Order: sequence, then C-alpha cells, then structure tokens
Amino acid sequence: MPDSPSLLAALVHELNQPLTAILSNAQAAQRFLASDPVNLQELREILNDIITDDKHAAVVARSIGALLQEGSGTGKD
Amino acid sequence: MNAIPVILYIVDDDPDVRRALARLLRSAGYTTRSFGSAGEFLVSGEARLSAGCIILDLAMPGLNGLELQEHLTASGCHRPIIFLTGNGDISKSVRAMKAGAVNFLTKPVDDRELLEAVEEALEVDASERALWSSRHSVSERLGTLTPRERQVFEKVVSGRLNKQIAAELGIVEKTIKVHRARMMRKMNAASIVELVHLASLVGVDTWPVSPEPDSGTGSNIRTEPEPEHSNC
Repeated sequence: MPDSPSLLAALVHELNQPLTAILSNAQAAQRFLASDPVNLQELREILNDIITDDKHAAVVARSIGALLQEGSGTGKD
Repeated sequence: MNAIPVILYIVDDDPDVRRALARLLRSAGYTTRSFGSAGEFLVSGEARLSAGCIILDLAMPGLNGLELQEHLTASGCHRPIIFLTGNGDISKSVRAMKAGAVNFLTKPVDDRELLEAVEEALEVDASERALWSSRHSVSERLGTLTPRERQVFEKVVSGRLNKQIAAELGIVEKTIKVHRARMMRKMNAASIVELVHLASLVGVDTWPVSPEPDSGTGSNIRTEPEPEHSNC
C-alpha cells in the first residue's frame, strides 16, 4: 500500500491541529481566569471548544490506529 | 505614528486553531484578526493599515505559508512573520528564516513561547517603522531644497570645505555660505555630524562615516527610499 505513509502523515497532521487548539484554549483559559472579573461566558465557550477538539482528536487517533493495523496485516473485521 | 493600531494577524486554514490562537493572544491583551487562507489575507490588504505581525501556518492548502511570505516581500511588505508548523520541517524553516521570518514554532505551541515570539516580532516591526519614518522625513526635507542647495548638501556631506565647494561649483564662497546656512536650516540639522547621519539614512554617499557602503553603483546619489518599503 504505497499511499499509507503519506496518508499517515496527513492523519498525524490532522491530529496535531486539535491538539494545538486544545493547548491554546486551555492556556487562554488559565489567563482569563487570572483576570478580574472572570469572563464566565468566555470560559464556557473555551470548554465547549476543548471538548469538541478532543473528540475530533480521538476520531483521528482511531483512524491512525486502523491504518497501522491494516499496514501490519493484522487488521481483520 | 503612535496612533497606528497594533494588530496580530493569524492565518491558518483550521478554524479551531484560529479561534484558539486568537483567544490565547486576546487573553494576553492583543487585538487579533484571523484569516482562513493566504489568499484571503492578501486580498484584504489589511496589514497595510496597522502595525503588528503575522502568525502564519506553514502548511496550508492553496497558497502555503512560504508562498505568502514571498508575495508579501515582493509587494514591499516587511511585516514580521512567525511561522507555525506541524512537523518542524527543517529545510522549510531554514528557507523561511532566510526569507526574513522572525521565528519558527512547532505546533502545539506553548503560550510562553508564542507570546515571547510575538513580543520580539513587535519590537522588530516598531524599529523598522521608526527607521522608515525617519527616512521618510529626511526625504521630505531633501525635497524642499533648491537644486543649488542640494548640490551644496551633497558636497558638504562628502566632506568638502566651503572653499572647495565654491571652486567646484564655480561660485564665490560667500554665496556658498548662504546656500549652506539655508540648507542646514531646511534639513533641520544642527551640525555636520547630524547632517551626515541624515544623508546616510537616505543613502546619500557621505564622508567619512558612510555606515554601510552600498554595494551599488559609484554614483554619488541614490534617490530617496522607495515609499512602498514601509506602507504595508
């Protein structure tokens, strides 16, 4: 399967994006928490985004897992 | 000049990343604007109107980060660029840095790292603006000189004495003194040292302190700096 390495690279990139968003969101939340008054609406939105990004990352991680299984020839349904 | 707003431009094709980066920068007190593609950013022409820097995703579909950097440079935009990349591609990072990127960070990027890079980029932007602004002002002053005063200006900054200038231009020394006094007043220079400094800012050959002999021609005068250098 000649496409696997490039597909894998694309998926790794795809996984990195939500991880980037999660980290920046979480660190933004820390900074917003240190401000006075705390903007609760902003924090709510951040948490919602973190949850969405995390779920997105999990989907991508599963695809990577499936691809690796396929590649090693042990993937059977 | 201080009234120009400082804006951080985020160019990344991933909307979640854009939103998160914008929040992080906002939480640190910055104003941001986000664009989903290099093309969108170029078309907006936004960076012309403000001070600041660009935070640019390296790997975007369509025009990628490096290509956007080339376009901006070609159009005379020297706004500092911080590249973000997913995979720390060294050859691309070297290319970006050589083309003038101020920094190259790997995603996910830690807040401290990003904010330090932003501060550094804003310092670079501010000093480039200040330099351009003083060049612009010198050019304007030069523009008010009469042709004769301009000649005297060039002779003075190249180290000639009044007597020599008089001989070279074929006028009496007394008249040279008058031109010289007017020229100094128009250039708003209190001393020859100051005048030489002003001349070097706009690339007029000076003596003895030409800070960086330009590689160019032997002609005594280069014209004023291209205005488009700054205005993006």
